[in-house]
Amino acid sequence: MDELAQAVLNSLTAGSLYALAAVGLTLVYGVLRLTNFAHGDMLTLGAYVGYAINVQWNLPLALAFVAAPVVVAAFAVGTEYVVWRPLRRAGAGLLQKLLMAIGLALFLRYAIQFVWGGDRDFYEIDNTATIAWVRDAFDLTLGFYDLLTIVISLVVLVGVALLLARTLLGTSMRALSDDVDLAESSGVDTDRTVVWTWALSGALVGLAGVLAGATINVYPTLGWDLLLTIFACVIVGGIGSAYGALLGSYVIAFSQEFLVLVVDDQRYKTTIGFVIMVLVLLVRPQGILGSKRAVN
Amino acid sequence: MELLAEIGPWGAVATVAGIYAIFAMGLQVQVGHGGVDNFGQVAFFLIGAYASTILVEQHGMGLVAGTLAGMAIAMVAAVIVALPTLRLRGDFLAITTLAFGEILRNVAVNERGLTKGSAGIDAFTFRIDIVRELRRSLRDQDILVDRLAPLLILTWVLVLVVALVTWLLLRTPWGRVLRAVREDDAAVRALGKNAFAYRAQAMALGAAWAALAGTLYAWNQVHFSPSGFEPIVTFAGFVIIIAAGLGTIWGTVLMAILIQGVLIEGSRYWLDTGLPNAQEASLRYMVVGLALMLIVRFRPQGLFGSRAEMAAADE
Repeated sequence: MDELAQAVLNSLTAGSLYALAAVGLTLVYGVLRLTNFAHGDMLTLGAYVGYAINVQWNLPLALAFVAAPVVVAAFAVGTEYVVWRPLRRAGAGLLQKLLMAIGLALFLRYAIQFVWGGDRDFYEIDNTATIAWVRDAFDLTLGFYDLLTIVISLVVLVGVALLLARTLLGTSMRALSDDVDLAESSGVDTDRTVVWTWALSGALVGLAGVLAGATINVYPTLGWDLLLTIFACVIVGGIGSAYGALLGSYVIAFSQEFLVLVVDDQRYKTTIGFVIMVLVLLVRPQGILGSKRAVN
Repeated sequence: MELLAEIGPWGAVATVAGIYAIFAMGLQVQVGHGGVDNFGQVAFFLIGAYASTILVEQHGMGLVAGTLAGMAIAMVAAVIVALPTLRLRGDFLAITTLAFGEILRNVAVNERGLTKGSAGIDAFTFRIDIVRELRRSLRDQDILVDRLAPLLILTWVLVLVVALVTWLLLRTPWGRVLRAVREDDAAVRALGKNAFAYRAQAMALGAAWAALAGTLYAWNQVHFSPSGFEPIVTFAGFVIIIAAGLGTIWGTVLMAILIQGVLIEGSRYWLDTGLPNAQEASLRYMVVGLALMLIVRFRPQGLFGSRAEMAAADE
């Protein structure tokens, strides 16, 4: 019983982290039909912004929760102007886009490694601190930064949902995801919407980076190692759908935590996520909430 | 007489370049000719290295038989991977094959009974039995050979064989249908050809070359572990075939020499940045990433390819 209850808590933490990263990835896919292989390394960048602030400059980690989203959003918008817009204007095909994203991912990861080195680093925080009442009342472990991840993810993603549902930007993003030609002929400002989509995607994954840095630790392949799991969340939920990414994140996190109890080998946790993704692609490529149009 | 008595660091670089030439040739068959954007080519490299090593070192199989068995297992694995994934759209195929490579690497780390896990596994039969015997018998005739020279020569003989076989295969009716499949799937099917089967066969042939490269990698390393099979290996292969131009055979060999040899492996001997080793290594891969971006943006046809090849790859 305790083992199962603990697995629920672990799933909630992992799912909340995945969701922050997955929503940005799926929004970019929806608007641009671009599979951004550099998304994981953008998460790493966010984690290292936290490291610079917290360890190198000795400032409170709280600052990183603002700075990392800003820096990574700026980076993402920069790639739109320097890389993606010129590539789209040149009429690039799918393989060109995939390889461009891979090239960008490699460049960013090794630039991070160039600056900060290849070792594992830790924030100067007490990440063994646990929530006392959860321990006393239920005899379960919930780390302070785990709880923070769950709360921040919840608050931020409710904000994203409101943005998508209630604002002009959100409407434009959903319109572009649905049908580019129709959206453009209805007067949606494509360039502006795309830039803001990158900013939002970067901000979300930058925030995820700081939370990953606090709950896991910081190393140059942090984001790349999470990337396929994040793809799994996005695909299971339905690529292009923000709510799908949210749902898919918890589906993947719960499957990993519970199936790993069945397999009885913690080291296969990530593999479980990949296998579920492949099965979903074979059976229902549009995922749980995705539209058939998004995958055709 | 001295025959390659001292091959020096560039000899070792040339061996690795040859291994990557074979590896990239497999990718060229799949991507450049079959139109299958396989992002998990390293999986077949891993299968070749581990299967041949386990069969030879633990089950007493001969080196040639072990190598061929590794290639055969990789071909079977390629068909198994191809069956469900070839029906997927391009980017899903890329993600799925990438995941396949990572799953295999996870298995290699975790199944210690089979692979000895992260500690790594030894493949010393070639270096010990073959090379030592060869050098001893040559020394009796007063011929001195570097201990790395036999693998260097073997690798480059195999590069030529693989390139020639690939070149010839693509000039058979099979090769012509394969190209047609890439360019216009529907037209090929209208002629009664099974486009799917042609793509699966391209996957299998490419996997066989990757497995051969994997076995040579194992012999060259003597001791290797799952950390040698990260996705970066596949992407180095992509940089090579894109720089050469999709579809090119001899360009692939040349680019393997320039990119894997001169740039990635060799730059430590000709480039002195004054930086610490670790930073210099990071810089090397930053250059690789940047080069990939620049080629994709400004010269998608590569150095030797035609522009139509990259466009056709999207169909």
